Amino acid sequence: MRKSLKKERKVGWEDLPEDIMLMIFSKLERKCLFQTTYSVCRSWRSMSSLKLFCRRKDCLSLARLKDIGNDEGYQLMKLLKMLIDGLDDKFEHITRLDFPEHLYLSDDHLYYVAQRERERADAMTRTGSGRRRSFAVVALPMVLRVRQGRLKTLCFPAGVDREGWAEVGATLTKLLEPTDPHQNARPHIEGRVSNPI
Amino acid sequence: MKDSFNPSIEPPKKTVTLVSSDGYDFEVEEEVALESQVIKDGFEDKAVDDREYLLFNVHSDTLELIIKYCEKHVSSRKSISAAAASSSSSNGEEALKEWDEHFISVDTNTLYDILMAADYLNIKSLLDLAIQKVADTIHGRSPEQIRKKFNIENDSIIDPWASE
Repeated sequence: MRKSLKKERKVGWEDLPEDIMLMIFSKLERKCLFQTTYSVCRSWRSMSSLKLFCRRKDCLSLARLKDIGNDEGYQLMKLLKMLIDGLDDKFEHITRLDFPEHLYLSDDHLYYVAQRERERADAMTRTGSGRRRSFAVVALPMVLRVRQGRLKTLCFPAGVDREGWAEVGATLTKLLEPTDPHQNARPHIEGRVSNPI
Repeated sequence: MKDSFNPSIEPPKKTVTLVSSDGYDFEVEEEVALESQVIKDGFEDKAVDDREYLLFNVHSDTLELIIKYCEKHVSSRKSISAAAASSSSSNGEEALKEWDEHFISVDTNTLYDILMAADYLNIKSLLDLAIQKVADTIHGRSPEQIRKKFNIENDSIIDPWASE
């Protein structure tokens, strides 16, 4: 009866509002999030990541990882790559990494995360999609905290436009590159990495 | 005169006019419209005379479905509570569930419209119903099947679980 006015339009299941998508994904089993919705499209991937690995938008949490199998280091690297690949504008400000005690996070892993996050920050600044935040630069570049219970937390520097990330990325690059023996190789990090794992 | 009073005749029901995005008027009973939390809130805030609601985001096709849903739920609630009051056994809730199930068994385009409208109008039970339907549709399907079902373009992401 009213069909005549109905126009053909594109239905956007990939552009669902975030809160609705979260409600839908909350109904799905974790296995389904991992194996299925993750691979559907970018926005679904991003939301699956959020559901699986983020307790807040500024925190990647590996806390739900029980066992990632043999060759843990390699698997973990693959997972981190996958996670960061899945991040988009919704995660504008990742400053924390939570991981369970049994997981061994090596320097390579941290370097990788910092480097990728720096690239992401650069890309976002270029495209202008990075939103500015007005809070003070966090002084400590990197703090490793062993909390009560079994979860460790790694806090990364925040800072306006993620300049903290860029700094850590740059410093880590410096650390890993062969240094001039005549120069003091000590990095210019004001904070410190306490209690390496 | 007293004996002219007939209790079966109710006072005329108050109605509200809902206007769809494509400009159609729907006159519905007030209690049906109040299923929407948004209209209910607006109703309490506004002057009583204002009985027209422009729903910019809801197409007439969808609005028709939404009204059907709300009418059914209002009438079912009444019959369920009436049955409970007379303590007669009733399978009203069961029947309503079945009705819901049938109601939401629509193609994905319509489901999308219902989902967005339920969210916009804030009709909690309908939103839950639609969300559960989407989750059920996702469940047990492969990513490829989901893309097909929901008409999602494959934006060529790499499957991290595929062997390298």
